[in-house]
Amino acid sequence: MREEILRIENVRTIQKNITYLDNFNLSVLKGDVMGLLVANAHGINALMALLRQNGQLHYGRIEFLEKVVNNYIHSDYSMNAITIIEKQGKLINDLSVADNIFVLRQGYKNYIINTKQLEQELSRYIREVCLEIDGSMLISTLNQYEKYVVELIKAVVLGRKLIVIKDISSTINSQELEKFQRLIDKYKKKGITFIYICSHHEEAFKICTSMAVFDKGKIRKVFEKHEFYRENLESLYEDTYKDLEISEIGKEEKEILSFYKCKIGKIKNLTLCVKKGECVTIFDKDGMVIQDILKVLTGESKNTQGSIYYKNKIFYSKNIRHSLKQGICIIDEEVKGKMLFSELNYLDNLCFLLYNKLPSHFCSKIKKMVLKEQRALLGDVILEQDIRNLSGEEIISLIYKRVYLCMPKIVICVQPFFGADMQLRRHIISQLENFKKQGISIIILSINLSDSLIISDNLFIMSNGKIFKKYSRAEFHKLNEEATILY
Amino acid sequence: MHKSKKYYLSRRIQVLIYSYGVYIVQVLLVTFFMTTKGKLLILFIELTLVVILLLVTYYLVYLPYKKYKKLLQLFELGYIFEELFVQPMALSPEIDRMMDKFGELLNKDKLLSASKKQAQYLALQNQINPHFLYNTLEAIRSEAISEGLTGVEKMTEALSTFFRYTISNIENMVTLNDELDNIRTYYVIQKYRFGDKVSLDIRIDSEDEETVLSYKIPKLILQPIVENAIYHGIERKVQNGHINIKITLTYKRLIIKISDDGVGIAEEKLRFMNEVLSKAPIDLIKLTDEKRGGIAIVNVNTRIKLLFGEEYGIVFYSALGIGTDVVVTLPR
Repeated sequence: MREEILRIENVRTIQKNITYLDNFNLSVLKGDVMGLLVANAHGINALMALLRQNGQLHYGRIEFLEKVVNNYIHSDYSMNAITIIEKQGKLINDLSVADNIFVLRQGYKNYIINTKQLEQELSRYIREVCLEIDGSMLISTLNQYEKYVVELIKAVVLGRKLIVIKDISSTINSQELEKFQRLIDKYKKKGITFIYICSHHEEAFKICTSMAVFDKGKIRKVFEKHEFYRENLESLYEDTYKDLEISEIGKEEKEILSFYKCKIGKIKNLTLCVKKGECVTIFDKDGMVIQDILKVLTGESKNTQGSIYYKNKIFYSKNIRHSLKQGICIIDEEVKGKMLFSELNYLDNLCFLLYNKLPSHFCSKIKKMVLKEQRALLGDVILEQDIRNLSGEEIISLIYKRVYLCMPKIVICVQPFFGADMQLRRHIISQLENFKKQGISIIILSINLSDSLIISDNLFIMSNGKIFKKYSRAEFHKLNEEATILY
Repeated sequence: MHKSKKYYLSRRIQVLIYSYGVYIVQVLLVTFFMTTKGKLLILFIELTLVVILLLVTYYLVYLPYKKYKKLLQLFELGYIFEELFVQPMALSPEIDRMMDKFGELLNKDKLLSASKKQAQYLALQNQINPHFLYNTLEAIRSEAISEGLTGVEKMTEALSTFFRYTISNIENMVTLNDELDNIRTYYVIQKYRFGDKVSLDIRIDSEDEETVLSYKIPKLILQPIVENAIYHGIERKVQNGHINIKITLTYKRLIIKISDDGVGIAEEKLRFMNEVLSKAPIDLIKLTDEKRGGIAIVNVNTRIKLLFGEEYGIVFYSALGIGTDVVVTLPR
C-alpha cells in the first residue's frame, strides 16, 4: 500500500475569464519523482501558486498527505508544506547559510541564536550532500548550484514531504545538474517525494520514476519508467518541430569572427571561427567561460594572449554600444526581465536599438517607417501600449525583430532556451533560423545543450576554460547529452 | 439519500436580526444616559460589540451562504448532484423539505438501476439465449478437439469463458482478480484477430499483491476500456501497440491505469469526453446516446459515481500520436 502524497482531481482554475488549469489531474505517490515535462507552459504558474497556497478553485479538489486541503466549495488560502526550488529562490542573500536554514523557519523560538550549534548541526547535512561550504557563509557568495542545495537542505530540515524542483537545468551546468539529481535520488530513497518540472524529456528520464506531459494547463499523458523511450514522445516533437527547415551553411562562406589562441580571463588557448550565416554553439560544461566571452565581445575586457579577428580585421571594441555599431548584437538570457522596458510601448521597445544607432532627430521618422513596414509582418500587436500583455511568443518576436532591425553581422545568444517551454523553444529556433537565412552568424553560449543543436552547424564543448571537444553537425548523433537533435 | 442534522441559515439570520435590534436599542439607551465620565470606555465596548457582531455575521451567515451559492452554481452546470443533498446547511426548513422531496424523486437507487439496465442492455443486446450460446460454443470446442484444431479449441474456450463472465450477474461486485482474468480472456480472443499487433502487460504496484487482487470492484468496468484502447487506439496505428494496466493501492483508493500507445484522441474530443465524465450522474443518465459519444465508458463512469460517490470515476488523458491513459479511481 502506498501513500498518496499529492492528489489533484479535476481541478479547473479561471482568472479574469482565462482558464489556466483545465480539468487537471495529477497523483503523486510517496517516494516518487514525478516529472512534469512542459510542452506548453500556459497554466504552470497557476499550478505552482496552487501548490504553495490553497487558493480558489473553480472546480475540483486537492488532497495533500491524504487530506483534503482545497476544494471547489471552499478554499481557505492556507499555505501547504511544500517547498518549491526554482531560480527565484526564497533564501535571504544577506543572511548566512545556517541562519537561512535554521532561523528563518516557522517554529524557531530561540531568543538567543547559538551560531556554533547551528553550524555544527548544519555540517551534518552539508557532509551528506558533499558540499564545500560552511554555515557562516552569506547566501550572496554562493553560486546557483549551492543555493539550490541549500534550499534542498532547508526543505529536508523543515521535514517537507513534497519538494518541487522547477526548471533548474537552465541555470546550472550539466555536471552540477548531475550532482543535484544524485541528491534527489538520495532523498527519494529516504521517502521524500519530488515533482521535477523541466522542458526536456531526456533530463526527466534520468531521474524520474514517472513523467507527465503538461500542456496548456492539463496533463496529456503519464509515462511510467518502463515507457521512457524517446520514440514514445516522438509525436510531441514532430508536432513541435514540424515545418521547421534548418538551412546548412555553405562551405565557401567568409569568416566573420575568429579567435586565434586567445586567453581571455579563465579561457585558455581558444581557437574557433564563425562563418557568415553559421550557428556555433559553445557549450560551457562548468559555467566558467560565458561571461569571459561576453566581456571581450562587449569591450569590457581584452584578450591577454592571441588575437580576435572580426571581418578580417583585429577586433576592437570600447563598449557594448561600440560593438553594436560594428554589428555585434547580444541577446541575453531571460529576455523578458533583462531586455524589455515595461514603461515603453511595443513600438518603442522594437526601435530601441535603432534609436541608439542613429541620431536622435531621426527617432520619429524611424518609428513611422518601422510601424508601416513591420505592422504587415507582426500584426496589430505592434500597437500594444502595455508590453506586459504580450505572450511569450510575442515577446520573443519583439526581441529578435529588434535585433534584426539593427542588421547585425553576428548575434550572441546567451542561453536562448532559458525557461522556455517546448512551443516557445520552437519559436526561438525559427527566429534563429531567420537570422541564418539572412546571413547573420549566431553564437549560442549555453550551459546546457537543450535544443541548441537543432539550429547549430558546429558545437564546441568547453571544460575548465579549454575547448574539450568539437563536433560538426554530421557528428551530433555521437553526443549522449540531453539535447534534441533533428536531422 | 443520507439525512443528517442540519442547521438553517434563515434561523441564523433571524437570531442576528434580533441581536442587531438589541444592539441598536442598547446604543440608543447608552447615548441617552451617557455622561462624560467613562465615555472612551463605552465607545471601546460599543466598537468591540460591533466587530463581534460583524464577525459572527461573516462566519455564520456570509461564508455558509457563499459555499451554498457555489454548490448551486456547480449543480446548475452539472458538476455535482449528490453533494447538494448531503450538505449540513440549508437555507430554511421549508426549502430543506422541498429539497428532500426533490431528492426522493431523483432517488440514487433508481438512477443506479437505470445505469445497470443500460449496462445489461449493452451486454445482452446480442444475446438470444445464453445457454444455447454456451452449448453451441462447447459443441464447437468438442468438435475442434476431436479434429485436433488446437487454435479453434482455445479460441472457443476463451469466447465461452468471456461470454459466461460478461452475461451473468452484471450487477454483482467481483474481485479485481476476476476482472483481470476476464481482461486476459478478452485479450486471448483479440490476439486471434490482431496477432502480435496488440500486447498486454498487467502490473501491480504493491507489495501485497494478493490483498490487492481480492478487492471488490463493480463488474465489467475494465473490459470496455481495454476494448476502446484496442479499437480506437491501437487498431488505427500502423505499428504494434501495447496496453499497460497498472494497479496502485493507496491508503484511500484503488487506482487502475489503463494506458495504450495508440493514435490518441484529438484535443476537442478529449475535452468533450472529460467534460462528460466529470458531470454528476444525474446529467449522465439523461444524456442521449448521441451526446454520450456512444461510449460504454460513460456508463461505467456513471455506475462508479453512483455506487461510490462523485469523487470517484474515470479520467482520460491523451495526446495525438502518443497514446491514451484512462485512470479509474475507486475507494479502498
